[in-house]
Amino acid sequence: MEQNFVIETSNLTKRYEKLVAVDKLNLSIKQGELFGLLGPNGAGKTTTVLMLLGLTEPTSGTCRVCGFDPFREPLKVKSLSGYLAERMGIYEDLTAEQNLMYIMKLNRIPENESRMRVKDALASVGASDYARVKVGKLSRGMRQRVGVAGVLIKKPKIAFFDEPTQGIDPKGKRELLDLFKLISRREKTTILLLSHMLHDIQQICDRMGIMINGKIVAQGSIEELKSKRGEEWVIAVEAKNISQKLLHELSDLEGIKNVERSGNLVTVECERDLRSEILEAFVQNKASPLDLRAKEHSLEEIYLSYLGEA
Amino acid sequence: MARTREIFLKELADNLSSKRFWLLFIIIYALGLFITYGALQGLELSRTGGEFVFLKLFLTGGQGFPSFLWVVAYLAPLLGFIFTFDTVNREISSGTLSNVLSQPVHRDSVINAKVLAGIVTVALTLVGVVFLVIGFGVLSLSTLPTLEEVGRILVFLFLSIVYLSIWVSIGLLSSVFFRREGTSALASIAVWMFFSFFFYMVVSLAGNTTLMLFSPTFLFIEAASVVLMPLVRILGPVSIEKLVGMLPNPLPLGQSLLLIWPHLTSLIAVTLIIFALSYMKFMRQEIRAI
Repeated sequence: MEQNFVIETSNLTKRYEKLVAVDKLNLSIKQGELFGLLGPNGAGKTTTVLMLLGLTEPTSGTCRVCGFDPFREPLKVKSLSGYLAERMGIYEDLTAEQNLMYIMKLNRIPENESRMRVKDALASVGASDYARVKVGKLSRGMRQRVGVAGVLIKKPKIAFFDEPTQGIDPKGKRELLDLFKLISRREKTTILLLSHMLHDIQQICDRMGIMINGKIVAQGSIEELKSKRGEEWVIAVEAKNISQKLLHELSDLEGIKNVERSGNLVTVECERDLRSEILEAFVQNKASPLDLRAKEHSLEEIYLSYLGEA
Repeated sequence: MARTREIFLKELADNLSSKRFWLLFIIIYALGLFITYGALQGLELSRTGGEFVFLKLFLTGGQGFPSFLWVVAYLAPLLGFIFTFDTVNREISSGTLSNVLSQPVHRDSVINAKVLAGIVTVALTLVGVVFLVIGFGVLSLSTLPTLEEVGRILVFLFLSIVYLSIWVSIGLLSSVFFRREGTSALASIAVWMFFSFFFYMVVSLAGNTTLMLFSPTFLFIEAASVVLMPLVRILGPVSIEKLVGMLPNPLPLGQSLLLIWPHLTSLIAVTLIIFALSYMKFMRQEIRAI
């Protein structure tokens, strides 16, 4: 097994009675990578992480985290990694500081160092002012920050964040994502970000995987994922005087896959950028184009198309 | 035992600072005082004073007050499971359990710590209230308990803690088995009501009094009575042959202990069995919230 992968799974499977939550998952994540795992709710993302942490026993297959088998040596894996669950799991009747100190105690960090780390972690997530407030009284966004601080404070080699941006306002979300990026660059922490929000992952992740029904249907850098679905262009032209002849001519053009008309709008699907050729055809046929829009296949459509297939 | 101590201390702090603890604390301490007062009244009325008067404080009620033993047997179980009936499922539904378990701790540390914290909370409360009763007794009787009495009271205290440990683990068991806190509370209460009130009816319907031995409450009352009444020499059905030649003398503590040894071991065994069940269930449990 190569050492530069900090997370490696092979044919990892988890079955709950009839339901297959994770289906023969093969995933390799490199040291220092910011990997986004995208998928709808119930795709098996959380189950995967629970298996990586040794909190749930896999039905079959193996996984290794930093070279350890999480189910055989859970304590080693757990002390190297930090996990922020979807529900965060911080004690609401304790203050932020008490929560973090408790985590430090469970990690056998000496008292003096703990205090320093608590301060630093709360400062890095911008929650210093709320250190002595009971977590139950904090806003959802602030709680989330305390939760993130609870992961950072361990100085983990790998951090798992499960839907960390849920329920946070756009500004807070932005700050949180920037923070993840910063940690990944500065501390060389490997981060696995689980989300059903494509936008979050697209913003910061080096690589991503799309997980649907327990399977990774695509993985790679964002560019790779885009190119995997072909460089298809969809061009929409709004024009007056559209004739049948024009439509015929358009469909005869080389590289055109489909032409559709609805009212004044002609939508052309083509294999490459044929904008000028298309416009030319319009002008030659005395149709006057008013507007032309090219839609590049966005990652979102790719995601949706995978979802549609499933 | 990785990190059991830290989790235990946190759980204990949680228990002791919780509202339900203070609520019960006040009720139980007030009850303790009332009962002692009642017992003292009773003592004065019957003028039985003299021997083992401090034991009688725990054993006799008076003027409509129940005895201390009755309160421990029937009401204190509430104290036993009130701290544990939601200790696991609440942490699952709030997600804190997965946070704790994603720290380098063993899973069994969590459940061990929880049951220990429950037992210690109960023990602290009981010790407090028993000493309160003794102190109250010393003040009003203006005499000190003898060594024999102190020994018997300590044994009684130990018995009560063991008995309440059963209820602590019953609470734990229902918190492991039921996902909803409401359900687990009801389950614990149902078990408590069954053994406190309905079991007698079941036994009398069945017409076999030896069945009583299956009730921890009965076992406890029987054992505690032996400890608190040095005159008791025989338990269970008594035949004439056994009575022949028996001296109506109080037994020394050691002999009373021998008499209740089976009770004590069964009470401990029941605690361990119930705890083992919750332990097994907990170790294989899915910890994610639904």
